[in-house]
Amino acid sequence: MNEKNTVHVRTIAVGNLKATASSGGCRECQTSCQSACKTSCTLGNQACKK
Amino acid sequence: MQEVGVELSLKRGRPSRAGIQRNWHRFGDAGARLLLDVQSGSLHSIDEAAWAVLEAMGAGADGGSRAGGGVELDGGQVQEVVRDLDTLIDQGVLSYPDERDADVGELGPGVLKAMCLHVAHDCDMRCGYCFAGTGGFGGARALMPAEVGMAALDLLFKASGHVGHLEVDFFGGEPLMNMDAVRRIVSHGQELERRSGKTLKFTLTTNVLGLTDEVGEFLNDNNIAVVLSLDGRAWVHDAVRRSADGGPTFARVAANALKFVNSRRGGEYYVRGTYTRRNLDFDKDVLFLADMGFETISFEPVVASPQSPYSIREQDLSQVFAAYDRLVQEMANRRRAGRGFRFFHFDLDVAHGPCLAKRLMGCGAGREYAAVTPEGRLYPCHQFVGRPGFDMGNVNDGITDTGIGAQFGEAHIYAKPACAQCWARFMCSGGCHANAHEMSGTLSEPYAVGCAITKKRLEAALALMAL
Repeated sequence: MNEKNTVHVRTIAVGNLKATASSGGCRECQTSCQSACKTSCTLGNQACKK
Repeated sequence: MQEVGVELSLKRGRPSRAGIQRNWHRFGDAGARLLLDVQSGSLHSIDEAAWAVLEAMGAGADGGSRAGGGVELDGGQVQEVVRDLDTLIDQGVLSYPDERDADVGELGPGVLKAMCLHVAHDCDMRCGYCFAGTGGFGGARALMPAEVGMAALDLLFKASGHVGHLEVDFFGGEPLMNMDAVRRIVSHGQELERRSGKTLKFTLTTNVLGLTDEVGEFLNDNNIAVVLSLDGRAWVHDAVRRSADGGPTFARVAANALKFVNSRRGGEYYVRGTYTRRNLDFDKDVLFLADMGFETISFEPVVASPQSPYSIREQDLSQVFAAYDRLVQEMANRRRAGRGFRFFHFDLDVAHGPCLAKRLMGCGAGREYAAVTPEGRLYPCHQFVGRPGFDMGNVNDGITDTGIGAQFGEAHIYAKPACAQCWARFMCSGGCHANAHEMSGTLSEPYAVGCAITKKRLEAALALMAL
């Protein structure tokens, strides 16, 4: 989105994390250990159900 | 030429070193130079000049800092980088480093929405690294009566309140040793779905040894996601994953897994391997599985005490990191060649990930997730089963000791000093409670080796997005 405006920094992916501070918490998403891990919690790769 | 550090103030002022360290994660991985904006989750690729300026900016607020590596920049470049950073901040894709984290308000009590049913505290394999005590979890070998599993589902549907998406994993030991109960529990769950309008997703985690055509058909017909345990190369797998009579299992497991995956018709599955200090070059095992034809793969470090011959130790980390680096490069090569595959921990989607509230609380153990023993006792998760002090109740009476869940509720990322300042806090969410408790005896101190691996794995995943 900013390639035309910046010289030394190129945005690869835009995160939505701040926007979810007020809209989140519905608890409909997957529980992290109910997947392929079972031994290590990583939430970054879970998907939002909304 | 001018000394970097002279003109490092943004429009909002010069950020503090602590703010930069906490909220702007600058790293190089697999040949990429990257900047993660921790608070938004946005990822940026930066050039050498931006790297040098950011390095100097993060070196301290005392001015006069030189860029590392002897890089010198002219004033024009410094100005350009600073202007870029201000532009990104204005666009909302970069946060000013001294901003506070967004406030999600009160997190409220947990709502039980996922269960791990230990349908068999028994196993037909004897894996050297098994955290379940080769099936029994330190207790007697037992199978879960179907009635216990059905009561667990009744509890789950009742306790989940307004939550519409529920999950149940059949786990063990080896769940295929108790398929009669699994079939009845699935049927009961489907009836509860119909009655309640909720959605119940089943998963089954298996060692694959007993995965017959008939079992596979049942799993496919009932849309049950499956996690298949297979550790990669035959010698790696067979060195640890032995049958109950001590024999090797790779040949049978690999054949069963391939046949089953080919029958899936699009159904969800993961082939899941465990790496130990005996195969620190586990990238070869991941690629071995991909070459076998598996398209969705997960690989995890072993959970083992520091005394175990399998455990990953601090001195092993450089080899672990190198394996992830090699894996990123090869996955990028294969993706470009149209031969890509999915690796669970590299599947980051920063635009559609979970909300901030979830990321503060982590896995939900003890609050949203519980494990059920064959006898119907409730524990915070599958790894806490049998640990003294973590018995939360039973399937008939529900959670009777709410203090345990409260303990987990208090173990959020801001309550853990190591997590509160960590750049990975919103992606890792505090790590595995069971590992923390196993290694440090407390929920509030994460397992340091696990942290190091998680951070590396996240960097690798982000790098793969950039390649």
